[in-house]
Amino acid sequence: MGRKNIVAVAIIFAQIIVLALYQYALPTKANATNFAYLRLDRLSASTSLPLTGTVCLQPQTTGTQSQIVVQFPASFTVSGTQGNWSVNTTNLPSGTTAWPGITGPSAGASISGTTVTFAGYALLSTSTTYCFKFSGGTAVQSNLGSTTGTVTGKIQTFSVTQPFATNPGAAIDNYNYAESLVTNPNDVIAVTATVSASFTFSISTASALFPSTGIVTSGHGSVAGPTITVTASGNSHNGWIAWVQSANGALSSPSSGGSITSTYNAGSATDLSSVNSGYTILASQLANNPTIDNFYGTTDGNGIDTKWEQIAHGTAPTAGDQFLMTLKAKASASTPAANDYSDTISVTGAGQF
Amino acid sequence: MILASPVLATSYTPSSTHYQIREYGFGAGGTATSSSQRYNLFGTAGEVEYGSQSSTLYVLNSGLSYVNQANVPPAPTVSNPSNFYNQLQVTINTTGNSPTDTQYAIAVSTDNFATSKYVQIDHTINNTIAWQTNASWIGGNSYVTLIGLTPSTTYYVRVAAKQGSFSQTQFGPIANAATTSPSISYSMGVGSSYPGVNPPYAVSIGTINAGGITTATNNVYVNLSTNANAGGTIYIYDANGGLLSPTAGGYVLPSISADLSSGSVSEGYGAIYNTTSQTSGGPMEALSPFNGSGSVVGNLQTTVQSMFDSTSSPVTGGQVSFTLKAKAKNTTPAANDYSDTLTVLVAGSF
Repeated sequence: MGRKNIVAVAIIFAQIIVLALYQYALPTKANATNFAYLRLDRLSASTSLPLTGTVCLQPQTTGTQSQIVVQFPASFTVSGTQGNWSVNTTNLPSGTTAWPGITGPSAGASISGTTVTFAGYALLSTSTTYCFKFSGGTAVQSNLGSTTGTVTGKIQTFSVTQPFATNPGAAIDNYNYAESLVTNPNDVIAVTATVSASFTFSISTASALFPSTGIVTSGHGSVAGPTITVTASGNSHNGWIAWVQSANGALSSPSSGGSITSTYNAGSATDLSSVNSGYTILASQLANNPTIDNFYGTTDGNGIDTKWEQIAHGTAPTAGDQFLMTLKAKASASTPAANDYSDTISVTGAGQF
Repeated sequence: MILASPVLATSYTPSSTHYQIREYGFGAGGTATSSSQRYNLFGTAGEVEYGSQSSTLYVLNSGLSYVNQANVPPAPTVSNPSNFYNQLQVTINTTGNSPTDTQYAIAVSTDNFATSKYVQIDHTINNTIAWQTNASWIGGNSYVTLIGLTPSTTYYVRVAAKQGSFSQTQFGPIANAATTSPSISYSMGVGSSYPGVNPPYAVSIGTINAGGITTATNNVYVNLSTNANAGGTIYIYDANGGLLSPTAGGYVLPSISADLSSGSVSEGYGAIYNTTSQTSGGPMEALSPFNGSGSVVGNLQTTVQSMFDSTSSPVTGGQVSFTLKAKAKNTTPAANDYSDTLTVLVAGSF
């Protein structure tokens, strides 16, 4: 074999070796799902809206990122004071992971123009989206500017020994992004509604009778039956009030001319055992604890006026507050005998809207 | 001219003051010639040649006999069919290189080949030339997608071919295309149909009666177009987590994710999607919990939630709409000043 042929064979052999080594050294094919986004908390172009939002990135490689450089659009106002910037990882987008070790700009030339450098730990997975939230301070310090339409910026990561080192070299992750800003406040919608008023009020019976054996003249008197159930329900946000009123102010007998007077006491309950005669309503809670007013709930209750007296109330919307009314009466030794003593009691209620 | 000599030819071209032998050969001595006024053909057998013959599109190298050299590939097709900001599509023109084992290298430049880089096996751009067959380059497509490009930049592309060793051609003619800028556009409309009323935007749910479901008359429309590689997302958050009434003592009719028509749901407020559409790309889709039907609403929160997206793809002319529904119970305080504020955002995943 001639000298030239030996050289030619050697060249062929060298090329084969190089090709083989190149095949083994193939770089990782770029992951088609790698991306980055910057989600602002408002999209209105306004210098009165602060620059806050969320940065997210799904990396192309892992284990090297330590510096995150966000270039905000040129139309934004970006505070050059490191202390105005803050980061956090609360309430991140669903399905994302907190950017490990993320910190705001705090050293060196970590803010230049609209470019802000953050620091973090290396990212561990190319199938994970890492996020952090940022704030550039108040709207006076950093804001969205006044330019509407499309504005652009960059999100990059670098591998550096010192997180805020300058001249970090080639970017590991390099994304250009765009935002669309609208005229303030065309990114918000005001929602209004009305809830209509409703209130219902009822009593369980239209009549009550004292015992046919007669109203006693001793002790705490006799009790009429049945007990009356009063129900109030509605959506009045301040609750409801119930009142009672007597037609006669007494149990009156047309045939005998006799009467058992009902005496309303503004300052105390009525104790029938300590008076010769009397006629009262005794009230008590049944459901949802309405308040019993004006001493109607103690001892033998209170008398019934010919004018409206408040007997109970509720303080909030209710699906059904209930209280009981029991009629009580005591005759004196001189009360004329008759079987036609009667009265008409009115009960009313109203919602407090 | 042929030099017949038993001595192995040296690697220089014999010359004199006025003449230089650019090409010569020697060997077996078998020759044949054919000529006309303008052409001359030398035929030899079994000889070593020196020198080269070339034209603009073809080169015949010397040294060992490059009998089966690949043909210089014509200009490739370079295009940006989808407003890519960091990608271009390259179709290698394999005309004249029918063998399927022909390998190609793709050179790329942003300065019309004052400087050159090369497409790598992973379709990124770097300084090292990379060879593979057209089938390997295109995979399951009919083109090679160059990735990692710079936005708003014209890229010049040319291709070289080889088949086996020592058959590499020079790079062929150049084609070019440009990347665009990353883009996203967003707008809203409120009404019974788009575009609806002028901003500022407002939606009245109306009077909510206890036990009944009330639906707002007006829909909210959101328009989204983006060339972001991983598509765009529409987000929403509210101010109160429900409908709040100051005169009802600050009562909040809560926003919930539920079927408002269910007897087990006494009150609630939320959003439900109406329509999704797009001119191209996407498609737009509603996301849980806003993708229900009937009276199944998604809750509105004071934290940002994804509401729609373009299915991880660029989209043009995307439009979605949603409406609001509410239900009160018999103890939801009566008031005419229930309100909420919705903020609608978009972001592209570039």
